[in-house]
Amino acid sequence: MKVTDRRESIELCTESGWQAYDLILDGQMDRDTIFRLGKLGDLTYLEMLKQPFYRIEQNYYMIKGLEGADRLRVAMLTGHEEILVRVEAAICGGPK
Amino acid sequence: MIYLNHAATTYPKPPGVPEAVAKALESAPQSQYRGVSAGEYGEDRIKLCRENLARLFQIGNPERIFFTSGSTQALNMAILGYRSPRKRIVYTAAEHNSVLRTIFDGLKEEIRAGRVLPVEVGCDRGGYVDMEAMERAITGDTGLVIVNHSSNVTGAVQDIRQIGSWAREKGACFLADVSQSAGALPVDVEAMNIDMLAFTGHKGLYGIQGTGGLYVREGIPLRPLLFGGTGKDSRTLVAQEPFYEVGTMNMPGIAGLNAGVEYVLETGLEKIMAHERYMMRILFEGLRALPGVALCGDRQPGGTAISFTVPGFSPSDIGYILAGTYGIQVRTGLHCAPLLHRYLGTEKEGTVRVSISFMTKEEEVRALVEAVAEFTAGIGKLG
Repeated sequence: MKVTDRRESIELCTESGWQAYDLILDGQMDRDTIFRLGKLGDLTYLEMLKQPFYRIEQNYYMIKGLEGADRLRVAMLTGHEEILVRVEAAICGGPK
Repeated sequence: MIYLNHAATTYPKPPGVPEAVAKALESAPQSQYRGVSAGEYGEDRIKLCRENLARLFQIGNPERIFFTSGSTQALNMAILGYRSPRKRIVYTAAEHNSVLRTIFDGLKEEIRAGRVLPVEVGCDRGGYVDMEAMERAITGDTGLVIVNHSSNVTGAVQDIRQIGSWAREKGACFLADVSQSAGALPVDVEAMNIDMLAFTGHKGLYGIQGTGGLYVREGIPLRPLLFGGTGKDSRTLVAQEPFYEVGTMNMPGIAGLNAGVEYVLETGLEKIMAHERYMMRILFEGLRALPGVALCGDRQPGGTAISFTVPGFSPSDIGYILAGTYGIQVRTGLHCAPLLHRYLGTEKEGTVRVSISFMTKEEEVRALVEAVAEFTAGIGKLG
């Protein structure tokens, strides 16, 4: 799986110093990829929801999305944009 | 997609509004007080819109309504332009940043110099203003009293008639922000003792973004914020009478606003209110019955917004799940009303806000309740 597009998100309040991007995937987010991404921080994985939700947190960034969706959101404090590269690498790190 | 974010802007617009905007763009331009077309070769949409707004708000003289880009511009004009030797500006904790930032940033020099004293009146956990504190706050040294009629966060509706009466008794100017209530609740500037009324065009009035206005009662000492061409008395560089509309007006926007206001007037406020109350009852009773949901306030809001949280979960995540899994668009966060959250106990991450309009269908609000029920049942399995 790979990231095909990166779009600035309008959802998060950038005034508080956070910025966010939606990463668009060429497939659907799966459980293995979620757990691989989970190594980037503290993973919360709500498997019991109609569509499992995940959230990965660290002090300077947050990743969240839905299993089966073709996108995920990555928010970070200004100056920590390098997390986008690490997220993309983690997503691409699975079976081709 | 189910759209339940009408407090941000109403969608869809009623029939007639997009057509009115398109017609204004396709027709020969109409420009207020300038040149020919106004009234001569067709209806004067600006005049008509002022008259319709005056009917809706019970304003005696439509010429005292001045069009703006929205309520933010109207509130800036009112707060920064109002002249008073009195120091106190009384506002509520439920105000939007269009009021709060205008006071604290726009008037920071006056505040620092001691010429202006902002006085906050608190709220309860539903966003209802502490009326005893309000009465005490309005003193003989109060120049301006500012109240958000209906909270954009909790839907709480304030008793602006009573507050307007206290302001009038003390000789203070009463500025009402009806951004959320115009077209949804009765607003009567005479009965409510409103001296200045700020409204937006793209919410309950069903116009398009970039429209709104400010009503200024005759005799209110208000210095204009903007100066420029008015199409009248062009040789005079210092106007005898202040005028609050300068530059070329947003004609297509005003045409759309007029169509929206006509829709509200033709439909009738009673019918609109009955529908919206029914939608709000489904939301309030449905959400209140769900274990794990904490509503902001313990009574059904009189306005068109309702807020809740699910303790232990970020409102932002709930909004994300509602959109991604259920295709329901709500809004999460502080909703540009930061002070209110101190009273709601939601200052860290805000709330999930669900908001409706006359365009909302019963199946949409029921779908929201079912989605939240399924979500809370799911997380309930976490133990």
